[in-house]
Amino acid sequence: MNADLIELLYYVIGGFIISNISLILFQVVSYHPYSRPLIPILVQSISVLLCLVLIIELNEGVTDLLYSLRFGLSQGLIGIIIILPLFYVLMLYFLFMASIRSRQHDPLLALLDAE
Amino acid sequence: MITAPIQIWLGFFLIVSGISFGRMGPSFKRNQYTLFFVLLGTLCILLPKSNLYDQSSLNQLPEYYLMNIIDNFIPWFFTGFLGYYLVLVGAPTYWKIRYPQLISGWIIILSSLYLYVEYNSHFSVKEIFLAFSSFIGILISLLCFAILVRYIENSTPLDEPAPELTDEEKELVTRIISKNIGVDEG
Repeated sequence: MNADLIELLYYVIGGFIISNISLILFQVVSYHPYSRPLIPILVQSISVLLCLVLIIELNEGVTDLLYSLRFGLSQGLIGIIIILPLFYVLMLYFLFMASIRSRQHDPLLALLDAE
Repeated sequence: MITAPIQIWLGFFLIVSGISFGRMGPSFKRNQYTLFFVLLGTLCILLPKSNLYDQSSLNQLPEYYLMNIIDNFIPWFFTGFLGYYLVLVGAPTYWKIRYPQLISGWIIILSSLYLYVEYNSHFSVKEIFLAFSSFIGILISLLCFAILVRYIENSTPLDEPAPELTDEEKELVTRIISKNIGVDEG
């Protein structure tokens, strides 16, 4: 397979793995009596496991599941960090608009000011 | 001895756990640990990692390239984060405009842009395009998660209607509301 295509696939799988691992962690540490995280965690764990096996199949240098997990997480995080400056610049626009916006008169806030 | 990869991923898991602790709702009591976990995780990632750069086989480590990118990313990101915070505090969103915070925030943001342009490793269009594909993976996982949660929510039987409030509970609610709207109970 084309090397670029495989690299693209690594990034997609990496993004999928890092997002799923984060969601699994989120569900575990924010557990409360009304949440039902069992089925989502089970399905997400199986899908992550399948992705790890796929990485092992695609990459000859990756031989075990733990290394595959580290490789996938690294690829996902690298992808996010490379793209982050674009979002940073995009956010600057909204921040600039927030900086020059004049606040509309709010009678409730005026009451607070009066106090 | 803690090896470098364990230190990096422990830091990552601590940061994700810390952010998750900040969730509102029935688990909100745990959000007091958010800052501690996030700081601890950040320290784990930032502290020197003894055997990541010294090993002869360092190119074999999947975290090697990641740490190079993080080393370049941290200075401009944290500077920019501080600038964002100050601008949001100074902007007239909920309060009156606060010029010292607003102006210093924008100066810090411009400094972070300078740090990015001057010291960050620059990526080709091809690299950015490839990296952007990780967002496809993230979107797929979020979509699957939303479908799963929707399925679970729909398949959960509805609870019985709540019983009417007791006199004691009514009195408590009245007292709380009276206190909040500043009306004398007497």
